[in-house]
Amino acid sequence: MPVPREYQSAIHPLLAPALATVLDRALQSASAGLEEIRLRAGRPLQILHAQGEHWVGADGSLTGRPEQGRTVEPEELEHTFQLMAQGSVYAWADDIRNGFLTLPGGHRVGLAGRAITAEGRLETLRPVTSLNIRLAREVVGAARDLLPRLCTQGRALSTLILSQPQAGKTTVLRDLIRSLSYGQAGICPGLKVGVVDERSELAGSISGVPQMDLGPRTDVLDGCPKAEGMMLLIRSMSPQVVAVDEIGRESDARAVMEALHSGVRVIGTAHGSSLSEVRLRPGLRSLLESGAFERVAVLSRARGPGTLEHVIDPAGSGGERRVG
Amino acid sequence: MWDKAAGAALILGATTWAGWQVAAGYARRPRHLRDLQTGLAILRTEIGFGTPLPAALRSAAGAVAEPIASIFREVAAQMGLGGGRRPGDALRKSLLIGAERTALHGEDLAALLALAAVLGASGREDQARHLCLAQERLAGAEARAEADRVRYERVARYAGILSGAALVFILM
Repeated sequence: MPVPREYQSAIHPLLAPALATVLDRALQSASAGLEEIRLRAGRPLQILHAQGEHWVGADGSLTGRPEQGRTVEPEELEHTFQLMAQGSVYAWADDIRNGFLTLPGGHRVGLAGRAITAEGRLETLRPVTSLNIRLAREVVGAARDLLPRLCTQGRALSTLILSQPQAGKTTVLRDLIRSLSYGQAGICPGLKVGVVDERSELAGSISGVPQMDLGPRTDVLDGCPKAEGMMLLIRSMSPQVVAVDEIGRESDARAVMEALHSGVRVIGTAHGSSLSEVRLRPGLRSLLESGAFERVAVLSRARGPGTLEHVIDPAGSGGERRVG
Repeated sequence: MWDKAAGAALILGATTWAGWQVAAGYARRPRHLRDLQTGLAILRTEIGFGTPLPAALRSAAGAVAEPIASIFREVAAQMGLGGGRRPGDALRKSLLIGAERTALHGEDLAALLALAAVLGASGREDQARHLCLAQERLAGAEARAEADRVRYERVARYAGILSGAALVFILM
């Protein structure tokens, strides 16, 4: 199996050399659909792909037994972290506080380690002892089933996409943005889409220039906090649709409401496996109760990441009802 | 006769050149130390803005003259090489390659090498603190180097000429 292109171009150059060598060998024998590479200091190297998880042996072989996996030395993990931070930990202070780095290409690296706090607030992680490298992937057509359910009479409906982590929310949202921007004959015309890409995951921007295809009518605000970014885009770019990843905070909810009152449709994602679960989160509950979203799409991994389970009209007559 | 005159001129020329070289070393060191401090000051400003280190180093390189500019540029280049060096390793390598083209002494290089353990690896305030410390050490070294220049630059030039003349006199 060829080594994934995204790994080769974006991840491989940022790994400590000895780790890169072992992973190169491992990925040649791994099945397609690499999703995560997990490095934990002093513990075995792990990869996760669409079909499951494997531990990587010292010779690059794949095994189901963690004790046969090659140990990631703390020094290798520190080296990898330094390379991913471009040797500039200070430049990613806010991201580190939020527990992740985003690599060129939109690949996200989750961080854990020893927390340094000041006055009860997380200042930084030092040393970093776990890296979860998640590969971002463009899947054209990931939103094919969803798109017709989110458009009516040539306009997009404000939509919340729900799924558990790793179930393809971001991938589906990215394809939805692209589809709305290009337009789909018989479903909706091409729309102006504004994307607030706080974590650079949707567009994978490098120096603000999107590396992924989000369509010809899409403007991307890269690295900007969602709440601030949504209002900025509405003022400056007159979008018909604003798209954001991972809504959850109360400030996000307020910004979504403001956007909706400006006549703009909002498409966002949130962690959660069902509408009832999401209603328990304070920020999202207020949004759902106020009827901000006309549709809620629930995804799962049942038939691979991005499987569309159902689409709900959360404010249908007589309460929520399934519409697809 | 002509042979002797040519020999004398050769000796005088060589010792004068050597004297000028030594004097030039005294003059170059304070200049290189000033350039290093300027480069570190730019680096501190860029780090304060959150500029990633390779770009910050290139900015520092653009603000100072050769050969000090090459040291900053080389650190950035080393960090971008395949396999990637950490900033500290890149700094050590850069000094190994570039120091001999400068008039810097061991104590000057030690001030820079002290940065290797922390460069890029901590928050902005901590980076600024370490860069300040290095600048202070270099400023101290510059004051001493300037005093040496005042004291020895002219002496070295005269010593070159006079030692040549003395050698010619003895040999004649």
